[in-house]
Amino acid sequence: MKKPSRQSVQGKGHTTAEESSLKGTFVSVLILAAIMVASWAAIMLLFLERF
Amino acid sequence: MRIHHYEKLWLIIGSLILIIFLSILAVQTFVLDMGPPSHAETIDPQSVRESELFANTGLQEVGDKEYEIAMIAEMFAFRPGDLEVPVGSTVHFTLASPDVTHGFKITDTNINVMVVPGHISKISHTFDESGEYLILCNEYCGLGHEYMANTITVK
Repeated sequence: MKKPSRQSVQGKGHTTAEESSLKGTFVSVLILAAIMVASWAAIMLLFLERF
Repeated sequence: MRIHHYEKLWLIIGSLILIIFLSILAVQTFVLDMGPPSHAETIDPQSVRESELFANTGLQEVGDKEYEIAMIAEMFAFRPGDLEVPVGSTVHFTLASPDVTHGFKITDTNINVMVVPGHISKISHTFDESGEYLILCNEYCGLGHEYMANTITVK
């Protein structure tokens, strides 16, 4: 059986990366957004409370 | 250019968050007048103690439950010292430093000013709750920094 050449393996890998799912990244970004919004809102509430 | 569907989504969400934050800041600053302490006016630090503005250092009643005070933050005290105002009073503070940078922080309020020599800082606050409020210098100003503390009694 002929082994696939290094070039063809790389080529295949490249295609897979482009079509990979970004679901995990998307969830991470949303978690980060939630932390930022929560901190911002907490500081805003503290400011308004003391106003 | 092809952008992944999720990438598009988080770019939109991120932009929206930024727009909302900045809009709230703009409304606070330009509509509700909640801007940071003014540093618009300047003063020669060496003439602070002799200047007319800071000569009459005491609380001055300018209206119904409205007071004005010009305070000097210097090494290592606030002049004048402890203050007393009735509940519900609005106090307009005018601050300057004749020596180094000081802080002017009143605990449990939003008053937190950096008093930079050469600049006149202005900030106002309405004291709706009675109690003793601590005034602190929160910019390290020298060996006696920790002695820079006064109180405002609201009753």
